[in-house]
Amino acid sequence: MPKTPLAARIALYCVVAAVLTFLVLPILAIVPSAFSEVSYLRIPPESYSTRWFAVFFEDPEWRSSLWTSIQIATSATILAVILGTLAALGLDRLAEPWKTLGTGLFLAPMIVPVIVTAVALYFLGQQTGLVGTKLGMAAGHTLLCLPFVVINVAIALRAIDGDWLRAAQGLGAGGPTIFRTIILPNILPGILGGTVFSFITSFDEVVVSIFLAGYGAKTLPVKMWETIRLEFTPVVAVAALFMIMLTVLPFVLTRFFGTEPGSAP
Amino acid sequence: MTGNKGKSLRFEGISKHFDAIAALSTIDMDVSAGEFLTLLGPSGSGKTTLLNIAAGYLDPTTGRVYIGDEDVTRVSPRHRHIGMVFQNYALFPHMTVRQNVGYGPMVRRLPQDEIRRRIETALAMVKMEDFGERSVEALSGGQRQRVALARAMAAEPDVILMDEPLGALDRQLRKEVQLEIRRLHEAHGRTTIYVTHDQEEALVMSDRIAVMRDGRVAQQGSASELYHRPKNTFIARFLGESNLISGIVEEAGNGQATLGVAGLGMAFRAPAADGLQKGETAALLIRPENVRLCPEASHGITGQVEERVFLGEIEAIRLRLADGTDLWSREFATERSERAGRLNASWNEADARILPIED
Amino acid sequence: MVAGLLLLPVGFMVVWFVVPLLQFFGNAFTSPRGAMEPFWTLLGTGVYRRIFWNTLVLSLAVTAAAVVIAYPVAYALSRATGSKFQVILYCVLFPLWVSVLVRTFSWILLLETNGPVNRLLMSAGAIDAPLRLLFNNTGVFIGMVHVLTPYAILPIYTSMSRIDDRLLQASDGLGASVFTTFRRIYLPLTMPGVAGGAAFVFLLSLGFFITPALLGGVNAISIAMLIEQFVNEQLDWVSAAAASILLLAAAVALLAASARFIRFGVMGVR
Repeated sequence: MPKTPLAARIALYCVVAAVLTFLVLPILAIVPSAFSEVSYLRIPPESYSTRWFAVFFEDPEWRSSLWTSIQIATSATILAVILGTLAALGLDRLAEPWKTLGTGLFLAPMIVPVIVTAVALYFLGQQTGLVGTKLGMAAGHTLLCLPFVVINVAIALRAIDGDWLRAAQGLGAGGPTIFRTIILPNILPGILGGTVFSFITSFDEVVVSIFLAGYGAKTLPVKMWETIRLEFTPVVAVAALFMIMLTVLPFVLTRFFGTEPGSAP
Repeated sequence: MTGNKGKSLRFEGISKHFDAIAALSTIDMDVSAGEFLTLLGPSGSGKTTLLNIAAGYLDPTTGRVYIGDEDVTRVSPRHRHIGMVFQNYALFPHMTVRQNVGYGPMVRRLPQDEIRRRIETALAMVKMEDFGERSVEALSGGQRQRVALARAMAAEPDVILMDEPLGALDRQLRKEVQLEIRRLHEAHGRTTIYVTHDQEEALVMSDRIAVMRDGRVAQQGSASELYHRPKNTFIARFLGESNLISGIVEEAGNGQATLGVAGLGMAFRAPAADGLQKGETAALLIRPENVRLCPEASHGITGQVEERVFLGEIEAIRLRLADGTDLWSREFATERSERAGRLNASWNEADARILPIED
Repeated sequence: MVAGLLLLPVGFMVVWFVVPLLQFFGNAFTSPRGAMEPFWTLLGTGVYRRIFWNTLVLSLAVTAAAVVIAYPVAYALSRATGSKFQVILYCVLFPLWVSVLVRTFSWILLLETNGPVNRLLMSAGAIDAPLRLLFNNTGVFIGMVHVLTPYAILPIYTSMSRIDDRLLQASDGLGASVFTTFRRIYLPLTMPGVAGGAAFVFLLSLGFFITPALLGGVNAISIAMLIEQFVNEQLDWVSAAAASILLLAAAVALLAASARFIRFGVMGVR
């Protein structure tokens, strides 16, 4: 791009800084509130203490909701990765128009508004008694996580050159060997990316969770949702803080273990 | 490698149709064990299709493929013991050079020391011994090409198949590698089928060449045969430079013919291809290097020098003849050669050839 | 082989997605007052129409705002290198990793009457009395723009990063000013990304639940909140299904219309 005038560049810099601040600061602003001493929420808090952390951990409902979230996120991620990888591998071999249709099917949960999916699953759940069960919740989350895995693995698959497979075949390798030695190593980054996205999506998931939680499967966001509407105390900020940490952590880890996000998906 | 010359390969009645399009029609061809055969042709001629049928990546619509004595038409590529070198090398990017080269033996579960031996022999053969631990991403085009060849060799195949492997290399490197492949073939002696559209490459490397066109074999034979005794004008033009003068066949028989060229008011006698009929339109082939120029004389062909092209060691001179056609002559360039004005062109009758016309 | 791979995933999708949706939608047509009656009620009654209209207008406003502030950030991202790139990227990605619930919650704290935004404006002398920023469309608007802007940034960035610099150099060499090059070459080339980002943000806005519920309350009901009310408060599955069908139809229509402008390069689906 030809040299833009200095004034324009400064203006751009300011605008971008302002927008980025707008995006990031409000989230970080919650953090101090978790350390508030008094029982009403204010940014910034008037005085600091850690008593609300104690409240969080002493309350069995908060504790169990955190544990439930971790359980659900883990199981949904495992399921989504298995199903999603199979789906991406299968889709890759399909001819049109099945390929497009199949892709549409697996990406549909991202297109159908979450509220609609949530209510539909609630309807099914009520009939089958799955509302309030961890099984139902995990299934619902898996559904929402699947598209991310499929996309990540599909992108990795597209980068595989058909000639590599033909070369391996000509050298005497059969289907399973080709998968193990050629395909799998090359889609591993995609699977990993899908895993991280899945975990975060499940952990953050609110709408479907609200409907499917019942009494037995309250995840952390569900407990937060209920608490916000009933008692507006800093314990919610503590929960929010945990949510921020647990969803940012996987990405920080992947950063340190090599996989740079690079460019946008 | 072991003294194995590889096996012979035979195409019997091979044809290949993709829906309505006939990519190959009735190919019958024999490749002897240890031979280096080149499939030469323009794009769309079916040469890569035929190669893929030999490998087993494509099934023929009709016909059979034999490797050695075995009918392998129904056998998958995995079990045909072929070694294929792809146009873009198809090296596994997530493996080192060693791992790539050793892939074939590894997959066949050979004992560890045998795998090691094969890797080392193959790498030594292509002079890449020091590159074992390198990642393939870091290699240049020429180096990748050699690793691809080593990988095919390490599998100790019965037949080696090469699909335009030098296409991505620059001219100088291509020439070097051509000679290297040639030398390697002399060393390992395995049956090789090589596909290219570059006629120079075919001439340099092959024992035998099969020129393909529109899914058929237009002519096959040694490089010398194809160059000196092409069957028609297409082959003549495809291999080497040519002058083609059209005319009418006045008589033909016993491997000779006479071609009357009205525009020049002359008739030429020369050896002829088969199948020429009296009265048919045909062409006289005379290669530029066989055209001798001397000062204008009263008989023979005379032309006006219109263009001189400097080609390094050779100079190409274009004469404009009386009927408007061009005649090219090539001779060794010396500083003193001054070819200008009107010159006389002549050649040995035995060096010319009368051919049927085929575009 | 293909069938074997797809058996489990497709089975899962059918059982947990397709069947529940179809079953739920089926409800819409089971009203004793006639199969299409719920739809006419929804589209005809003033209360409901206001909700649809409100959601639509709000979504349009949010989309416009998000795209406008996303554009410069996407541009900066496409031009940045090294650590600058990383910083901007993480600032854009960080909100995406945080739950919409947490992000909305923070705005409750920020926008309340005694919250930092009002305090700041008052101490700067811009206003005399605190603004009512919560429990109305304003709060919902701000919250939704905050949540959805990153979804606009990424597609716009992708299309920007694909632009060949040589096109811009050519325009410059032919004598065009920076402004003209931007207007006639750069901007049009980024339009597919902008359209894609806008479509995605609009799609999400239409179905938004959490943010309008927490920041808007009863004064700014969205379609999603309406559906939730039908289900939880009125136990009216018929209306819930009808409203859901209308919402989904709007989403699909939107995607179909914008598909002309977007290349679904993600999966090689064209």
